[in-house]
Amino acid sequence: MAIRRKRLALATGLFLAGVLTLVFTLIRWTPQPSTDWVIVGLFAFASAALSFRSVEVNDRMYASSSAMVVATAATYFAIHTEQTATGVVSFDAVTIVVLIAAAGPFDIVDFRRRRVFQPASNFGQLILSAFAAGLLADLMLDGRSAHDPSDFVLVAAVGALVALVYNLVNLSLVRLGVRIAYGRRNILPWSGLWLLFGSQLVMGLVGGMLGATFEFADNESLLVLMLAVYVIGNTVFTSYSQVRVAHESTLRGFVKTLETRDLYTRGHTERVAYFSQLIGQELGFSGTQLEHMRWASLVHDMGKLAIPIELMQKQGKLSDDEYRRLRTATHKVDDLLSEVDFLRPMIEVCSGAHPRLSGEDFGQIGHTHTRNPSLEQRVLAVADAFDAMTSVRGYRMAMSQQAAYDALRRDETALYDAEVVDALERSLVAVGETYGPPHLLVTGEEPAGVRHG
Amino acid sequence: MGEWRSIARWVWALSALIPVGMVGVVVALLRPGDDLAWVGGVALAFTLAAMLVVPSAGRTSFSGGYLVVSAIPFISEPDTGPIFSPREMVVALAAGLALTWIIRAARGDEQSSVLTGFLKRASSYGAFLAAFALVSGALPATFLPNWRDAMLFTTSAAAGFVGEMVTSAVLRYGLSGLGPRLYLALDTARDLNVYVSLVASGALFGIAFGAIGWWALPLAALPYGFAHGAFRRYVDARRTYTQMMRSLARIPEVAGHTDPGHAGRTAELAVALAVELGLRPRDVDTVEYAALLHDIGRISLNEPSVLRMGFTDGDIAKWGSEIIGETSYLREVGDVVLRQHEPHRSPGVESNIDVPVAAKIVKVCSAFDESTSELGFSPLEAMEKLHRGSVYDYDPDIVATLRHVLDRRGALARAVPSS
Repeated sequence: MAIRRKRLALATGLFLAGVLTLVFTLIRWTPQPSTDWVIVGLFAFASAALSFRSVEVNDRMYASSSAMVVATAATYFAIHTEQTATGVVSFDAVTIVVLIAAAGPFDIVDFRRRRVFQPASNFGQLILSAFAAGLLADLMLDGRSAHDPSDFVLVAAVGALVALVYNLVNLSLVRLGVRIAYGRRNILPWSGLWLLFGSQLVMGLVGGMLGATFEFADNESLLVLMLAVYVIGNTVFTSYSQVRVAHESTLRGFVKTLETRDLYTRGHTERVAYFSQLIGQELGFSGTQLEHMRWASLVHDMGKLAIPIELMQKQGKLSDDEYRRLRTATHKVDDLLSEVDFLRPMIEVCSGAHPRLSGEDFGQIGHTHTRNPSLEQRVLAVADAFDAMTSVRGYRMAMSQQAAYDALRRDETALYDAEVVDALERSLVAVGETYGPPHLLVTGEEPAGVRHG
Repeated sequence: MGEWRSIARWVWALSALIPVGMVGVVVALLRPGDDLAWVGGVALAFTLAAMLVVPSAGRTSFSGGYLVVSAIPFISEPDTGPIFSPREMVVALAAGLALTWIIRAARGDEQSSVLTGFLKRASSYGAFLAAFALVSGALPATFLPNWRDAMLFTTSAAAGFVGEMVTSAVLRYGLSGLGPRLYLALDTARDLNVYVSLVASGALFGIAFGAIGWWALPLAALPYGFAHGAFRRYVDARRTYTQMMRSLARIPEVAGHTDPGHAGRTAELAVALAVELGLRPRDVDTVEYAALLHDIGRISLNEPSVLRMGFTDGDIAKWGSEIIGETSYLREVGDVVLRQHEPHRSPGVESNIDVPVAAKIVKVCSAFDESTSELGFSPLEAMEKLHRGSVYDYDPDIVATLRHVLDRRGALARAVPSS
């Protein structure tokens, strides 16, 4: 297992880097006897509690709020001074922040599941990020402790910078790790990154303000109250994500039922979802757009659930009247689903992307509902038709991948956009996958049983 | 019934005097030396905040007024101590409550909701401030000074919450009916997080104000804004999830396998029964989803192989629970759907105790709705059928509860021919 070895090397490297940084900061540190360890403990607890309770900011984009705790601790200790018998004592933010970060990666869940890689590399990542963040706070704020409003603004701004640096270092290490271990570059939908950094900047700002307030007011109750509000927000956000996951898996359950009924369409929905994701990524869709595509692919065949029994059992060709009934039944399901506020835009995508009904040939394309299909509709239409062509159906053989591309490009309706087909072709080359039967690789070969309407 | 209505009319008429009384309180307690800018400012801030209704997952909604009320006692100046004396707090709150009342009445809100809102809030704010005054008097100043505010906050917040909970329970159900009140109490407890984030944000502002002045506003507002956004998204997601369940539940009826509207009506009745029986809020949700989806297995009836082989009620329940079981979030619902066709007792067995209550509820409600809508029975005839079937099929306790619920709605009375 090459990946396993790479991951091991990566985890060891990060872990060692973390330990070295920790040892380095501890050696050059002169501990102050007046350090309030209760406060340090409180910060460490908060950081550990928040670092693994990340919330989904956007589709597939997770943000943890430990940066806020780091910003609070860094700014507080950078400006904190205490009057003792020997004179004014100031504190080192960097050491304390590194110590706080060191407590972060040890999650009970990891211990229970005996996971080693993840905590070890997280340990290194968090310590390196915290070191950079703490150093920044020390450099920019050392010696400032006056209680005047201009300093308050400065401390808050430094808090935002600290959070930014903390996240940048952390994210770069994650990207580096993914590139080393898996050889992939694309781990996040980059179009949404400003959202991530925007939210982290605000969190850092709040953290800096809290650090300054805490120093000025010297009141632990502030920390407790603010954490209470914050943790509640975080928890509610987590339950929100759970409901969203439940949404999707409920629909998936229905799709599975749908597909067990028809041997030939088994896995069709999942593949259509996969192809439309590939095309969407290739065309530079945002996280929200990609999510829309996934949902639209999931529901695009639900109409089949309502096809009346006698039509399902009918052998041979359907009469015009029966065809109309078939259509009505599937449209009724679309109408039902579009009563759900959240699904309405997705249903609109599907109903514009459905030129045909199951059991018909792709050759009859052209019966579109929409004259000017949206980009999402064209993507879904191509993904749907491509999978239908490259898989075996009851009445015909599967087509080769190349023949499917050609057939889609030959079509002149507005639905099958050459640009979208190109994007599909490029992305399938990029992931190195081929669909359709392997023995049919001759370009442009017509599979048996295809009619052109 | 008519007598009760005329009493209610009197109550509403008299309740219009409440804002007048509040203004009276303000006039009576205001002293010439008071800082009118602070008192008026708080009254205005309170009125504005009270217009903010905070969404919560349960069936309670909290007023944004908590943000202001919890801040007032903590606001202080570094040199001169607390800004508000207890008397000034009462003045500011009374002015704010009067203003809120006037605005809500002018906006055309229903008078009963204005009155119940006032009673709930006034009792809760009163409890909050009273607990604060009591504890801050009793707590020695030298005892853990850095944690003093946290202790004051915890006790006052608890008192305010109990105040709101008790008042709303009494307003909704009066002093009888233990089960529904227990349900309400638990349901409110589920919204504790909304309440805590409101009062904690207010107190955070109050405490920080002494140290950093008006910078305390963004400090408290940003985390609260995050929590508020999270609540809204959560409530929205829950609502669309229920919408989706309702839509999916209607697929079998679109395909012609069940009577139109059967799933929705069964769910409505089942939720009423579950609340009446005092089930926990989580379990009420399970009952609702299970009732909606209890016939979902029928979408498998489109499979030609199924129709060839034949099927039983048990098969439909099994297919349904398989579909639902794909979602780990709905595992309990799947179990209920699997069991809902079973009788509560079998011949020769003393008592079949392991059928979940939720499954028994769904069975009874589904049978009732089938009798009244599909078979054309009157509600009384349907009840008669359920009573006859309660030796084995229907749990007599659940049937009795159904009777209570229908009786209260007047559904059984209407069915009696008027002779």
